[in-house]
Amino acid sequence: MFSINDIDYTITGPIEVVSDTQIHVETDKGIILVDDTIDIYKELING
Amino acid sequence: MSTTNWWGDWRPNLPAHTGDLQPTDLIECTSIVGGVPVNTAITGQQIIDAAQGGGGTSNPVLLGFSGITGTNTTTNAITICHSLKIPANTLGTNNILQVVFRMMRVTGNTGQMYGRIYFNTTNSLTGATLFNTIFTMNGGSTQFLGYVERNFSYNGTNLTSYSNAAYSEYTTGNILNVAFNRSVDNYILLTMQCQGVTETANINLFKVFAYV
Repeated sequence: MFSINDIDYTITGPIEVVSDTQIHVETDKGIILVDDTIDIYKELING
Repeated sequence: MSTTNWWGDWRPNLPAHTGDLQPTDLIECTSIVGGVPVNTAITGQQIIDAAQGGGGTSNPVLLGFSGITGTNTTTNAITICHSLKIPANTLGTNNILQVVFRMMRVTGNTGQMYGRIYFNTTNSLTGATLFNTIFTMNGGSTQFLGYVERNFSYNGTNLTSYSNAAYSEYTTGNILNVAFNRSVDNYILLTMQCQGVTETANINLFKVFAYV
């Protein structure tokens, strides 16, 4: 689980790297773009 | 014919109306009924209704458009080229949101270019929800513009269209829902991404309509 802008997301599927600084994360609220401007990015991309 | 009852006769020097037309404004009017001038008033609301086709609502409502390029993307990062705010409570529980945009190959003709649609409550890609379809323009041929259209039905909870890489909707595809909270401000984010980092992509046209 992770949060962005006070919204909680539960990961439900794969993480897709879409650029050098951005990933798509499949969650309970749809596919969310996460970029390297937020802390959770490194945790997600490193698995 | 007597002219003593013409408003124009006894108010010849009224100042011009200032500001926008208001529903409560009154426009004085004289009709000739049976050869006799009859004074009435047309309300601003009557004019507004007539201008909208006689009904109370004009459909579809144009939420926004642009006929020029937005922000270039010259890296492989997904970039917002154009965005549009949909104010809270614009959509109801039985509406249609129509999104049209045209992808543009600005420079380079080697790699693919990818268009996507996201939704977010801020004008940012961080935390944005992807409408999970990628619209692709291939390099090496004449794919310099690509006109994309999606009509989303809205039931108060989800925007629904379908997952298909085709630009138009005149085909079939899987059902695709995007959660949309209509009670808050939302942004439509129209993005481009270049496969080749030496090329440039943009969006040079978009228009968004709401059927409400």
